Amino acid sequence: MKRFLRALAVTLAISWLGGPAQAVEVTSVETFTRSGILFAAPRFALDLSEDMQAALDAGVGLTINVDMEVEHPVDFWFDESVAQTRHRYRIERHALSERYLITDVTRGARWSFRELTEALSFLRAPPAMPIAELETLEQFPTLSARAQIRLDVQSLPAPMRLAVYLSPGWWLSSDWYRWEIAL
Amino acid sequence: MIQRGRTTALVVMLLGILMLAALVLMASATRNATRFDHLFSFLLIGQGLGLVLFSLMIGLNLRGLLRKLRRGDPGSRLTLRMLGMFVALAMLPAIIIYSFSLDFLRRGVDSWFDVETEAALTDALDLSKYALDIRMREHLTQLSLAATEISTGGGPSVPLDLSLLRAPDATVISNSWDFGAPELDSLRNRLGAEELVMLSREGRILGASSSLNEFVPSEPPGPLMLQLRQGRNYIALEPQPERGLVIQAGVPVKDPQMAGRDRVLYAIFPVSQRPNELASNIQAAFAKYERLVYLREKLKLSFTLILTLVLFFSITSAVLVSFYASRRLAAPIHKLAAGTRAVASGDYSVRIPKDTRDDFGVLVASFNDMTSQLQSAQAQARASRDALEQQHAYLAAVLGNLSSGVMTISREGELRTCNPACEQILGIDLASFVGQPLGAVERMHAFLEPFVQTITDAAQEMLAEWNKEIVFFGRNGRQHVMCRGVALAAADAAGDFVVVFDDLTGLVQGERDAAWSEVARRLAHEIKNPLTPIQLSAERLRHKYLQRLDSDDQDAFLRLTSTIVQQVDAMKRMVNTFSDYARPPKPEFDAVDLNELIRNVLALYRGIQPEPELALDLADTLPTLHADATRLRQVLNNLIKNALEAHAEGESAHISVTTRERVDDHLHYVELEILDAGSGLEHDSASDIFAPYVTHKEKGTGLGLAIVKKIIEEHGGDIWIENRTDRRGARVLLRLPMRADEALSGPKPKQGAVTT
Repeated sequence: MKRFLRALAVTLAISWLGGPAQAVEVTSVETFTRSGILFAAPRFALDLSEDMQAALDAGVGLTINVDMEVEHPVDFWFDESVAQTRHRYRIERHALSERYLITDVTRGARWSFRELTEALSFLRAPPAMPIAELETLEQFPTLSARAQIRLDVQSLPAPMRLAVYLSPGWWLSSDWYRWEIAL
Repeated sequence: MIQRGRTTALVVMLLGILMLAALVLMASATRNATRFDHLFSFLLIGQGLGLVLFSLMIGLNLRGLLRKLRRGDPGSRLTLRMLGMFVALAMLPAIIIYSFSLDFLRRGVDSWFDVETEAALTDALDLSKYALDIRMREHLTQLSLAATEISTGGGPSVPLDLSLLRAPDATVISNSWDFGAPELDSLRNRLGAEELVMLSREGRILGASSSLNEFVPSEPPGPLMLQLRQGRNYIALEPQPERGLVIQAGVPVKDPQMAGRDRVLYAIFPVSQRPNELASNIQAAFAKYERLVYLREKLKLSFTLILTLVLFFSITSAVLVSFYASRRLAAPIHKLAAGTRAVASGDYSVRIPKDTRDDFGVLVASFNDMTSQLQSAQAQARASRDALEQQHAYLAAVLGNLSSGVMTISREGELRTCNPACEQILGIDLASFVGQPLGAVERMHAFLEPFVQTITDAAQEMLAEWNKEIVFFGRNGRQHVMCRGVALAAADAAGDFVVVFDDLTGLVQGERDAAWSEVARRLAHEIKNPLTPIQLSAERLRHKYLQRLDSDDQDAFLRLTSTIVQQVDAMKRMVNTFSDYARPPKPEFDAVDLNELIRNVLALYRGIQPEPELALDLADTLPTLHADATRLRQVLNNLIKNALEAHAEGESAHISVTTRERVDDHLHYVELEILDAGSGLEHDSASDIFAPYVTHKEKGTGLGLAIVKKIIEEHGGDIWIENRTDRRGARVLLRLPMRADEALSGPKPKQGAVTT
């Protein structure tokens, strides 16, 4: 019991001393239409904490979720959700090739980078992603959208999650970024 | 209560099973079992909530137990002791097992990792790298030779716009080739590459050949051109999603004829299947091991957390079960205590349900037998008491309906019981004196002094049986009470005696009236009837024989017959007076102003010779009497006449008449006092002076005062005569109660209970 309490205390102390939550935000989103599909090209201000980099170097893959939602504003009530998409990017370290791999889990594409900074640059400006069909969106006179980027904690190995919940160094989640959509 | 306890136990058991299942799933998730991996967070939260719930239930149970302890509820201390015992029994092994398990766990996790395994994996990875590095160098050398070969030959000059090809809606653009596809195909085949691409220095594809039948050539990696511009060849090992490891290589192709317009030859070489597989396996194993090393402390923490949760779960479950079990064990004691309390409060009907066949069951059965016997005994006692109460009520009813007053007096002279007739006869609330000495009655009601004194004297004399007549002036006027006392022989009432008394006022008066009526009837019959013939005979004698006698005899004859006639008249008057006494007219009561009546009567005596000296002292606010004015006038005449006659002949009479209103001890009456300065009585007080034919005067009939007394008694009043103490003469005191007609109506028996 003592050991557990000590370990928990140490974990909590290290976690809290580890600094504030990782700053991450959606800086801009550019939308365009092509072939009847609405695409969004988001840009993020994103960095990985030392804890995340250490986990990455230790072979733990990190999954970043980019959530987008198109809404139809409703007066005096909750906005109506028109379309929701989630794009998942998984970044991991390949020890044999000494490269960082980024996999678009949603679409199956993969990119490799010699340096982590290159990989992060890629993640900060990922390829445009489809979010809705125009046919669906045209039914609504006014539309707005919102985007968020966050670390998928559930994809981390189970033993890590307790520490992840407790450590601000692992709290990687941006606020919702909102913008108007003009078709 | 039992049902609720069972429901709670069932809920706790269900919750416990759920928590146990959650713990198993958490343990599985921690071991990276992908089936439950995604549930880990929810299981952790659920487990925490479950423990909080358990702790809350323990807290509530503990609070309830503490309250019971403070209240001193039976069985609460036993519950606490059993709880402590259960918890100690559960916690001690649990903590020991937890401590050892934690140690084994940490050692077990640590044993997964050792230096040799880590070194072997690192070496294997290095070996793979080394082998692949050799391959990469070989491919780079081959590609460099090919570039040299190309630089001496020629190649495509018109670039292929790769961005056009990569556009989502692009179409294939045909290009003319200086260095045609057949040459690139041939070169690619010779090099053993999967793809071979000729690029301009700007990165545009000039020509491409692929063995993968892909229409669009692979995009060259970003750092390729940068590195080549720096004068270094590009070689890299690239993991591909489907193809596994491939080797990417790029070299500059020098063109001596076109200075500054070098081209780039970029090739992708496959890694043979077997080495690729081996390298991938080593990579996967190394990555997994590295991940495990990284997760080692976190894994320990997770296992420790789960183990601790198991410990807490075990302890909280044990505590909850302990509460339930101890309550269950203490329940019979609680029931027995409740039953005992009920018995103590007199409820013998309580029966405790026998739930068990153990020692408690035997105890419960014995308790039930005991209460059954007690109930039976109580029923018998109640029946006896009811019978006694019935007897008592019967006796009380009898005594309550008796017209005789019955009361019991203790040997100390305390009034113990009295029936309603006592109050009716005595005219006081005698029941309020129960438990007090009779002297208190005398102090509060002075007119009862003769009554109390008689009883007290008899009690002091310790007479076994006595019988006395008591006369006192009570609320209802003069009362004759016949009192009989008998000492009680009962063991618990030794020394006490019962007094029975009757109000004989009406009876005495009735008897006397009847006696005197009989006397009057006899007088009328035996005396009055012969008087008229005697008188007539005397008158006829005088009329017939008077003239025949000589003068001397005539005088004697006349004197004698006159004497006969006078005496017969006197006897007639006496008989009439007696008849009036014996058969008085029915009194007619009305409002009478006594003062006015006195003034009227005295007015008759003014002017007679010698002139009497009459002193009046009449009360100003004398209440109106309810009386027969004619009869009272007769009383006043008699008394004033007696007072005048008490004085010596020729002597001036001194008569004083006083009236006053008196309220003594709730007795409301009017008092009339007549004082004279005559010769007074022969004795200080004469009780027989009111008896008929008793007179102290030479010419009195002896009926005047008897009639006065009779009239006064008809009015419920009292009268007595005594010598004055201040001077010579007599003092007549007359008391007339207010509402004398009520007094005349006599005592009315009423129903009631004997007061004890």
